[in-house]
Amino acid sequence: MTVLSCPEARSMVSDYIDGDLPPALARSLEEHLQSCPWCPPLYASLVETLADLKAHDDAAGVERLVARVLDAIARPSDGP
Amino acid sequence: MDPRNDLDLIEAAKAGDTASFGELVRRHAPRLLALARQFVGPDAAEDVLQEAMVDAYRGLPGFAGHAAVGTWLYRIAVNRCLQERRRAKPPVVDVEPMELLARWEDPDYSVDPALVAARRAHAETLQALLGQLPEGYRNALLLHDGQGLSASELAAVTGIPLGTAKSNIRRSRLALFALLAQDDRGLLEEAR
Repeated sequence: MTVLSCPEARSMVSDYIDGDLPPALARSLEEHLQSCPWCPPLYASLVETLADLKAHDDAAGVERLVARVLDAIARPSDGP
Repeated sequence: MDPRNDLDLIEAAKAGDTASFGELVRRHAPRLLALARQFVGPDAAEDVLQEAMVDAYRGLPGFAGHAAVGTWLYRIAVNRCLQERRRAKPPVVDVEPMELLARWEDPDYSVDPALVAARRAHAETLQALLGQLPEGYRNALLLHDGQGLSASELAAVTGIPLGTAKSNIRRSRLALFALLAQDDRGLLEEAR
């Protein structure tokens, strides 16, 4: 197994989050995150931050939007 | 639920059945609304999407089915959102992305998780920081992390090469985080 330095490990975390890291490197990164005193808080905080960006559905606006679009395309100048 | 597939609805709408186009919008609206709210904010999202869907309706005769219907609508919506964002808020890039990325290469770089959590608790802080990043980084964060687009979808909807999309995904995450976590008293006060 490859022993990673902190900068090497940090350069891989984005691909690891997306599941794009080759399995052997993923295992090396996981090993680093088990043993390193500095990187785990960085990694955990990064994952939580990216989760905050995730969009949430809002079904309430859907019917309002459909009505607005149908109203707009009903105007004579908006034919296909 | 209307049993017809998206292409059936497109054909019916092309023939003048506006209700079929309405069903198409209804089907894809949750994802499009989420996109628009993140890009232009909740107040402008429905206005921008209405314009985008009228664009789509007018473009029906040119839709040849080369892309999935959802992808086609999504691309039109992204274009409208980017136009609106540039019009309403010209990007002010006042951070140096390479300097932010370089912090991750310092073996001693670490953060105070409690501080990061405190800042993250304020949604407007993340939005403000997103506004400071270059457009390519912001698009990567909103479309990949926010909307779940793959790197190739990000490349397709924003018109950039796949390699650039992948690079922007990696760099934008590290840059946003370094900006969020930096020891800046002004930001800390803002977060409180």
